[in-house]
Amino acid sequence: MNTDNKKTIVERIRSLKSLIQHARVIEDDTQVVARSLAEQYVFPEVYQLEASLAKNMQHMKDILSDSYDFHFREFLIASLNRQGAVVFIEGMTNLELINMQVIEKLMLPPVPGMELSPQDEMFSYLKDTVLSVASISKLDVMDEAVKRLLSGDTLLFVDGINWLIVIESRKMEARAISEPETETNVRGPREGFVETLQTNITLLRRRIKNPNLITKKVVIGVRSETDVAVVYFRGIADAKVIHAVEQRLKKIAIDIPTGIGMLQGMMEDHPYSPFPTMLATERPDKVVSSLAEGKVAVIMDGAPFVLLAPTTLSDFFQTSDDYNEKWAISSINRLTRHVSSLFAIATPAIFVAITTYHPGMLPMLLAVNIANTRIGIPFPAFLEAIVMIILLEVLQEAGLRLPKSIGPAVSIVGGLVIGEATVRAGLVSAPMVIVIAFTAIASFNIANYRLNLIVRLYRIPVMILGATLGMFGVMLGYMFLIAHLSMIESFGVPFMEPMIQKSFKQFSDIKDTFIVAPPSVMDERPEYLGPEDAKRQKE
Amino acid sequence: MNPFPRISQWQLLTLCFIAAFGDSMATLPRSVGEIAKEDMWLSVIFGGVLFLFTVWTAITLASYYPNSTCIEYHQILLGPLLGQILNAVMIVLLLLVPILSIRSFVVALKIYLLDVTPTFVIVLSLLTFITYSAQYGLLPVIRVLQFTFMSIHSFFFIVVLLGLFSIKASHFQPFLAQGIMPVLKGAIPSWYSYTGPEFVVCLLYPFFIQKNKVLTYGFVSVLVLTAVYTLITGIVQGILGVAETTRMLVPTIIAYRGVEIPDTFIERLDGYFFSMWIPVLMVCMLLWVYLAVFGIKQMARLEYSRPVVILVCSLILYFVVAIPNLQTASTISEWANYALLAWGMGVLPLLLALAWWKHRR
Repeated sequence: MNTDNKKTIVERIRSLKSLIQHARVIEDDTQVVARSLAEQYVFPEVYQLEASLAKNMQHMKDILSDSYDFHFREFLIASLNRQGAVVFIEGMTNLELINMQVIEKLMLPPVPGMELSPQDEMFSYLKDTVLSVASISKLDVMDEAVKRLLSGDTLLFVDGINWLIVIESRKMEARAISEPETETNVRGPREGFVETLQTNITLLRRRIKNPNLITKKVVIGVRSETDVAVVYFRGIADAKVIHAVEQRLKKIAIDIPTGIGMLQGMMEDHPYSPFPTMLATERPDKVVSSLAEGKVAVIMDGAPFVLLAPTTLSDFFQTSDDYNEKWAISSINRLTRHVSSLFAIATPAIFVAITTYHPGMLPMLLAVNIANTRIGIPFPAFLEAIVMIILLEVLQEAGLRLPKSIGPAVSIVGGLVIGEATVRAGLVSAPMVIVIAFTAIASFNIANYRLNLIVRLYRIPVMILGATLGMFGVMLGYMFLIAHLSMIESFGVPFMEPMIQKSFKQFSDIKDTFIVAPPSVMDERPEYLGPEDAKRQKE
Repeated sequence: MNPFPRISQWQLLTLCFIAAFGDSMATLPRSVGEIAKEDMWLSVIFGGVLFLFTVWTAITLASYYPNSTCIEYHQILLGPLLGQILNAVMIVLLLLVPILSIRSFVVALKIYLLDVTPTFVIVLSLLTFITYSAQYGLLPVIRVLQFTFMSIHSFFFIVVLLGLFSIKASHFQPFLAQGIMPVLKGAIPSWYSYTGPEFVVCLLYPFFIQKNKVLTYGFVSVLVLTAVYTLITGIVQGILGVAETTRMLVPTIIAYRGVEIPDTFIERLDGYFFSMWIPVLMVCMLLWVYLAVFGIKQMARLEYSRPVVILVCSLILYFVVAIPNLQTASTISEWANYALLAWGMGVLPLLLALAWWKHRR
């Protein structure tokens, strides 16, 4: 074989390979096109319920495509002598109930002498005589039927009739009630919300056995049809707030709300502010006490957190333990949290400002000591602080994401080892390590995790201001914070209330703000929430 | 934004106090000490009593038109043209105070705290805060003032009181050595320290909840101011003595530099005094700027105040930086003091007489 022939063969093989590759690409593309044509977005409302069982089954198959968890079972309804079918979603339905109380009963022979002709009598017969289930209903709209099916109910189709029977048979696996992870306490209850809406409402109902605890359902999410409950205490909560919460929920135009955070972001007064104007909690006891104050709760199916509105800054400093301890102890704890938040924001900034611009503010001996420790440090105080804060953030994040068993260990060991090593290496001064460590501990003392994150975020701009403008910059940062907080409102309630009072009358609201007054003194609901019934303890 | 905000008595008290309590307390002992000497603290009290008359005039005048701001009733009393001219004069006065106060504050800041930072940077930072805070309307501004009053002002008064540890009784003697006349004359330069509540009352009167109590709370605020100013002046006089007080550019800061609290963390109090003074001045200036913006908005019948806030702050920035030196600033301050005195003791009583005459007719 000469060289030319060899080349020709090689070129032909290459062309063939290329052709095969192209053919595969075309095959894939064709499959994609075919699939996209076959799997168009389905609107169940365009389908009609028909008298033919076969047609109805075909509709169901079209709507649910070939989803593997969608099941249907055809059988003969002996008593009616007609074909029937039950349709259900596996994993959401009580199979035992369907087998024993539906299919088995329908397959039994008819009661002797019983004759049925009109369709209306057929429903009554099945409901009253055959099906031994707690709740069944009749439906003649496909759209609603599909919604009920996807909620865990079972649909019963009967050949020859153009309506169907919905059998309530929901049974979904849910996480057991456990202790809240982000809001632990010492003496309070150990129950936390779970991902099931009904369980969460039950947790509240168990604590408030009063018919005035109202739960209203709102469905949000054009495609997900997610259930959301608005819960409030009738006769206590301000009607304006209830109305505002419901209106905002109804206005949410989103296809699938993926979490309570998304819902919160779409309901809040100031979505661009880092401060949340709705409080998310996983503690039923906290929700109950908030409802008793006159707040409104929003519970979303699938979320273990409940939103409370209106929310003010002081709510983020409250814990359940505050009301389970003696008031004096709780007051000190509460006050410590407020002071800690200020320290957590400003300590590095003040340290940088004082060491850089105003050493005269420190006692002479302390100023000299700090200056001595900084001899040989190659970085300015600001850079030192930034490096240490970044290190702290990395350690905190690492501790959070790691498994519980090793997370805290990594944070502590990392902090100790790296802190000691950086001081020994002469990269940062020992006072700076103390300042940053103190800042970290102060931020841990903040009761609410969201507020903790904001404090961590705000620390850096204040420090930059302190490094560029000294104490003037620190104060500027503080004033900007106050101005921002003063501008925010939560459902018509200023975010700074009751820390600042509108009138002399509202001074009494301070008894659950910086301090915790004895329970006997807390006889009135907070004025700023505008409760319908202001008195808490009836004489 | 709330279209018709309501102001309670507690908020009125805070507004009146903060409007007056800004930068002037740093220089007040010098300006009264130059005339009244050892009896400077007495001049401050007399100034306060004199100012009560202005507050009474402003409130009585406003009560003739309970649903109108002074921008509106000036035009009712004097006619559209003269009324608007008077409004323009008032706006100029409202702008003059922040311009002069910020300038004098920046000078003090540069001398004692930030010697290498350019004036422009400090003024711009301050005005950025004011621009941010003033644009959201009256209620957020009041909340800023209230929170600062409850937090920063409280700490500031503690720092002020610590000065009592260092006063010497001999610095207050001899008492009334030059007679009563210098004491009375000394009250005139103290006017600049008290000015503010009369503008608050005139501009915001329609928003007060219980109008029958405005006079009481207006008087209470002036009495509290008088007490605080007398205390500061007395402490500065007690620490420095008259000769030192009148020689210093910012005697209050110098006085607190010498305060030492034995066996504590504090060796010098001036840094803490200064740190607390910064937000105190910031909120005072915020209120003045807001009042000017509110006045302009009403004069021009504008719906939104945000563009006016930006314009006013830009103007203030320009003029603060444009004042060439301390002497010029001092001369303008002197004239501004006389203008404010003329407004409080001349224009307001005249307007009150006119209103009384019109209502009688």
